[in-house]
Amino acid sequence: MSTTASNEWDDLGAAWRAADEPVDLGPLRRLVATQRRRLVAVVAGEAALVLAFAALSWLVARDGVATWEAVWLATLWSFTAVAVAFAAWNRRGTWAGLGESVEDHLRVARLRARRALAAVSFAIGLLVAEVVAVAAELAWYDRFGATEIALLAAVAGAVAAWCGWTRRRVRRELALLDELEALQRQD
Amino acid sequence: MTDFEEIVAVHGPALRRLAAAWEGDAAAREDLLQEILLALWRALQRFRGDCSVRTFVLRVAHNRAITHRFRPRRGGEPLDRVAEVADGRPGPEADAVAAQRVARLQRALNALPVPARQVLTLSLEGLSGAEIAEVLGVSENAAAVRLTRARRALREQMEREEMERSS
Repeated sequence: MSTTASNEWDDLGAAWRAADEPVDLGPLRRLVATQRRRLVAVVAGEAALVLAFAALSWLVARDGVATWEAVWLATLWSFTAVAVAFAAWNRRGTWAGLGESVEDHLRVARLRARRALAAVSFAIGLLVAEVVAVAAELAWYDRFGATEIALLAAVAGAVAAWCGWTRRRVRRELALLDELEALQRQD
Repeated sequence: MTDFEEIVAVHGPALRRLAAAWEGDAAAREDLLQEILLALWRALQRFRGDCSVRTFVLRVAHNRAITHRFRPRRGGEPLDRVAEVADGRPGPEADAVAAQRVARLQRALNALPVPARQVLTLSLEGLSGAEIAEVLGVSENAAAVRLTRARRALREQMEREEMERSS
């Protein structure tokens, strides 16, 4: 680079750095507070769900447990245990913040996206297993009525909608990551 | 937040300038700045002093900026749309020419492809070739090549804008 071009670039850099408006941390504090509240709400929601399951189990079991109730409770807790174990296993290696170098950043982002897709596949498998198990139990004990079918359909619909939305979102993310990686290789 | 506040007090203006180079729209620029600050606040817990604070801060900011820039836009806005840059630096009249120059520079940076924008913003912040390479995670040679090309592209872009303005 010629001296003139170098000086010109230095001048441009100096003009660029002259804009030194400070940063107000107020919006960030509000954002962090909101995220904390959300996190507390998620943890409280998960705890409430487990407590609700426990309360339901206690209500069912307090006056003695019929065979069908025991089977139903065993199914409920088995599926819950499988889901919790999978969630813990599927989060391995993704706790670290998005990496510091661009490569690390892309690697962790891609890992998180792949794990999200794994969670979707798992949710679909678990849903199918649950529906089959619950339907079989209801049919076995002759309790398969319109209400039960409607409830099963509602749960299946909600899970299917979540799976579809998540899969689309993650595939978009993966496409963007591909694009970013291609840019990193442009040297 | 004490360390964080000190770091933002020192490097905050650079983060604001970086956000301006990546986002022409004022609201999107502010969103990006907040995302960078949040990412930095989280990342600082992992900072072990392996590099300078400035390199670390800019690395986190660039990582956040590229993912922010590539996020799908509402209403299908193209990724590299040249946005109108509002110059948010009201200053005395003596600074008007310099402010205009910076505004032109921001517009030109916004119009350049991402790899060029990355090296140029870092170079404008006064980082050396080695520091730029460290921030971007590429070799020093690759950073130097990219910077040379990017400066040329920037000059051409600014000249093009100047010609469009005068015609």
